[in-house]
Amino acid sequence: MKNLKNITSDFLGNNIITTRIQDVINWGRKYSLWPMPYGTACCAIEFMSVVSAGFDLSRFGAEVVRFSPRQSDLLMVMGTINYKQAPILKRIYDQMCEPKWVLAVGACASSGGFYNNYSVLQGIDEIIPVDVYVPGCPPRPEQFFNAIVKLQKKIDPNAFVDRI
Amino acid sequence: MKNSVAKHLNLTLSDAIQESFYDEKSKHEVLVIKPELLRSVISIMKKELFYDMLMDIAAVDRGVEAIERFELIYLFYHSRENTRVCIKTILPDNKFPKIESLYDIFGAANWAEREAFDMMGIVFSGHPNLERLLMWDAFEGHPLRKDYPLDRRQAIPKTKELL
Repeated sequence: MKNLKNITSDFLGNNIITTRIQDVINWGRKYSLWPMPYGTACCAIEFMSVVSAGFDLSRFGAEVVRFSPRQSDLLMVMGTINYKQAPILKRIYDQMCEPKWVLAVGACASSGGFYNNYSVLQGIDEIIPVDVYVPGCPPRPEQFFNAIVKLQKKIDPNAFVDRI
Repeated sequence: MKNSVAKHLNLTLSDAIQESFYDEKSKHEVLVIKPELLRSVISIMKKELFYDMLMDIAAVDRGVEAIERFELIYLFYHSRENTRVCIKTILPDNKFPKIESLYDIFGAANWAEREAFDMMGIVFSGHPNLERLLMWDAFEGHPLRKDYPLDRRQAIPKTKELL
């Protein structure tokens, strides 16, 4: 083992690093999240400024916004989800390929917000699993970034088992 | 031109009007009409006074303890004279509120009546397709009634049920 290490460093110098394949994959996933916006209310307006040049989500590697669930791995639910919308959101989530993550942006998506009534789902976690909740009505763009950074920490580079 | 509908109805169908006044603030002529004569009043308004648009139908729940609980408000518009009339009618039956449909006079009543049925449970007899408009079919009860519990939640529908 020691000999092998000496040989590689002798021949290749610092041009090569050794690591585990899972670490490399998760490192890639962390910094290239492809978000799928599911905007139903004013939080989606806030999302426009998040992806635009002023705040610029691409600084965190998540700027490739896809409008197809099959091409994205981060579902951003921004806005009020009511009972008739819920099965549609569930189907969108089911269509995304693993691994996938979900962001509940804003008070409505997280808890129903101030719509405590017969028609509004009291938080999207009643139907799909949520990774990060973002408070606010609507949240500031900085809170979006905070959520993305939190999610990147959650996509653990040291995780050995893939998230299924 | 104020109270022109009431003046006309006093000549033709005077016993239909329970109350009438002109609301200066909203510039509406307001008439309270007996529910059994509502259809004849509205067809007179359309054929003789040329009110050509039914703007909206609103249903009111005046509370569980009210003697006459449900009230319907019809808003009409005269597109040439730019005048508006508000017709109110108070439904006598608190348990099964029912009134005749206006669909064959004003086609616009179709969805407005379905919405009133969906939210308040008011039955419009003679309506061609009295089904829920906003809530899904498996929904139980009428959510805008005062006795619908605020914290009541129902089962999430399946995608197929919504199609």
